[in-house]
Amino acid sequence: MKIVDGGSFTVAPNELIAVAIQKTAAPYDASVSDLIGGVWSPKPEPPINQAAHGAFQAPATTGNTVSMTIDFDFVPAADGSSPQGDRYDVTINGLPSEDTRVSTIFPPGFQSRSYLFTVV
Amino acid sequence: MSSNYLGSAALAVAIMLLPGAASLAADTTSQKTCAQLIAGGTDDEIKAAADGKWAKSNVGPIFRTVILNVRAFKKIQAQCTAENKAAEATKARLDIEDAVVSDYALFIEFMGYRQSLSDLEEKRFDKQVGTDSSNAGTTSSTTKGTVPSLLGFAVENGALTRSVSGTTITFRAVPWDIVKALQTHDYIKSAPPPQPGTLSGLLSDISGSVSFDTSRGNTNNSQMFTGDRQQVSGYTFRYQILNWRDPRNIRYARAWDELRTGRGEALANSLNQLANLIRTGKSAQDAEPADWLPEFDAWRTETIKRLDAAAVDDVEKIVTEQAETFKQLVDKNPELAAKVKVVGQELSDYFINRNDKIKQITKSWTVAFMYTDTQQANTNGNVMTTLSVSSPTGVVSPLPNLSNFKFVFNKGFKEGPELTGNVSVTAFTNLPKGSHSGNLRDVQATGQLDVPLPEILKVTNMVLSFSGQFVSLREEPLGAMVIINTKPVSTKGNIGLGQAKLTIPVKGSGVQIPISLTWSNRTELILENDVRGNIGITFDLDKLFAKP
Repeated sequence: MKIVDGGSFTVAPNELIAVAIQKTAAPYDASVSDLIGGVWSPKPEPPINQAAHGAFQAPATTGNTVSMTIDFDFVPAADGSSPQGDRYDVTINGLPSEDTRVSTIFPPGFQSRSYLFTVV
Repeated sequence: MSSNYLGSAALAVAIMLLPGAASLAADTTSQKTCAQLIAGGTDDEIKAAADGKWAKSNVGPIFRTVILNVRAFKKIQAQCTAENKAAEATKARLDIEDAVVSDYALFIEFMGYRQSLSDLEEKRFDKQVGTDSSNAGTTSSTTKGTVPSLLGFAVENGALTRSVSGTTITFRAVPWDIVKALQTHDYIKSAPPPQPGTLSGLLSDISGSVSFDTSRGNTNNSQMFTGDRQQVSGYTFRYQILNWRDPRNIRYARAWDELRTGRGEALANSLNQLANLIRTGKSAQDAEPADWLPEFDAWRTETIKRLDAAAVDDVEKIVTEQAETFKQLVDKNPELAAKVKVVGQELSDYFINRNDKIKQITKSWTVAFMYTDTQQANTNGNVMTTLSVSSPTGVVSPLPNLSNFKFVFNKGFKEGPELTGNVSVTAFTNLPKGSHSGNLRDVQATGQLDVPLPEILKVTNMVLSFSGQFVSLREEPLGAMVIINTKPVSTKGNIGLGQAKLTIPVKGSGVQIPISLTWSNRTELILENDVRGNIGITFDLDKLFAKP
């Protein structure tokens, strides 16, 4: 797997892609989409200790793509604030490993990230 | 009441209570290392936005969160580059790109396909920011159930149970938050809500306050706030017995999990379909990419290029311009626009459900116990040592201090109203010389209903409050019959009081203006019935510092 830009990657045919989502403070409130162009095995769900791990295999055909989206929500405290150091880290790497992308999402509120993997 | 006085008093006390608090307003990011900036996340940018240093756009909460993230990553990238930490700098650059071009919720919100979020904190009105209702100078007849997490500062003119109006400044804080703030000299770092059953949870349930009456200790009616002992009008201690109003409390974990796996996953799937369509130009049934694909590819490349070259203060402008370009590209393709609209509806549904949960949680029960020590004094400008009760027999004694023990109940209702109840007893801490009074001064019961009014022109959310108070005076109010204005004051018995209050928040400023009208069948120091109107200004610093 190679990083193209913030949300784009190139992968080898049949490459195994691992996805890990880690939140520093409870509650964990990330929702993971189904894959388009691939199948989770397993899906990063449910979270255990604010961490979820999943993986999928890239398609065998060059030019095919896999896309996934993760929603990240930060539940506010009663006064609307977030704890110091609260964040989501999404770690994406392939097997065999080349690049590892660690994407960080800071609070507050709601954000989403859509990632596209293209087989080359 | 003078507004310039309020500002100087606020600053003086902030410095007094929080050494290093002056740095709250300073931009400290330039002194931070790469590692410190990464650990701090968006904290500095949240404070800078609250200080009005940026955040000119008012698109919505997702837009603002994205700008917060990109500004933070920009500073991380610059500092890490300066420290020759290439890996961290590269990661920050990718995070900048990711935060904008990979977040389609941002553009859906920008295009107006999502109901705007109401500001949760702006709509909360259950926090007692001013002095407790048993102290002088309050416009509240009922004590509320929760307090601001850092520092409540208020100056309110007028009185409910005294005939001479005074000016009272109250400072109230949660000791746990102050300890943390002193450790870090940073308010935001005091924000984490400790969980029930832990030591931090117990300490965070305790709060205290001290009130100053600025009409005391001055000989020229200047009402100068000196902060010395003569002006102390009371202390309070509060223990939050029950408070289920924190959405992050572990008891709500299941509710958030249901949202995450239900509407959250549905929204993620819809956003993924939209993202896949825009990135590949194809839906599942399409063999060839759509004609418009090169335009979106070019837009993506241009957005990344502009973000990479942008200065921190240009980020908001660039994201706004690129979002506008995205909107134009979508609007040129009706089929794509229709799909964006559908996802926008799902985004709305998610937020409506999320906000309903938060609203429901913030309407839960709260129960608190409160102890108030009232340092009684007259307000004629004399210093403490001369305050006295002059009885008909000529015995001169200091005014007796009072101890008040109170239980406070709060319950909100889904449609907005908030009910608050107080039950309390007051005892004399000491009695004037020669007094034959008992120690139990009074028993009180109070109820208040707060009704939020519809938003006016999207400018402000006013709250209309109705309250009633019943006081059974078991002894003479001052512990002995006294002569005031040539009239003996020794009446025991019952006091009834009703109040209507309109609270007008000044949006985005943390300032609230309460206007109240109070009726009472009697006052303690004036024989005739009295109708009094009160106007005050209340500051809630939490709203100023915590607002992202």
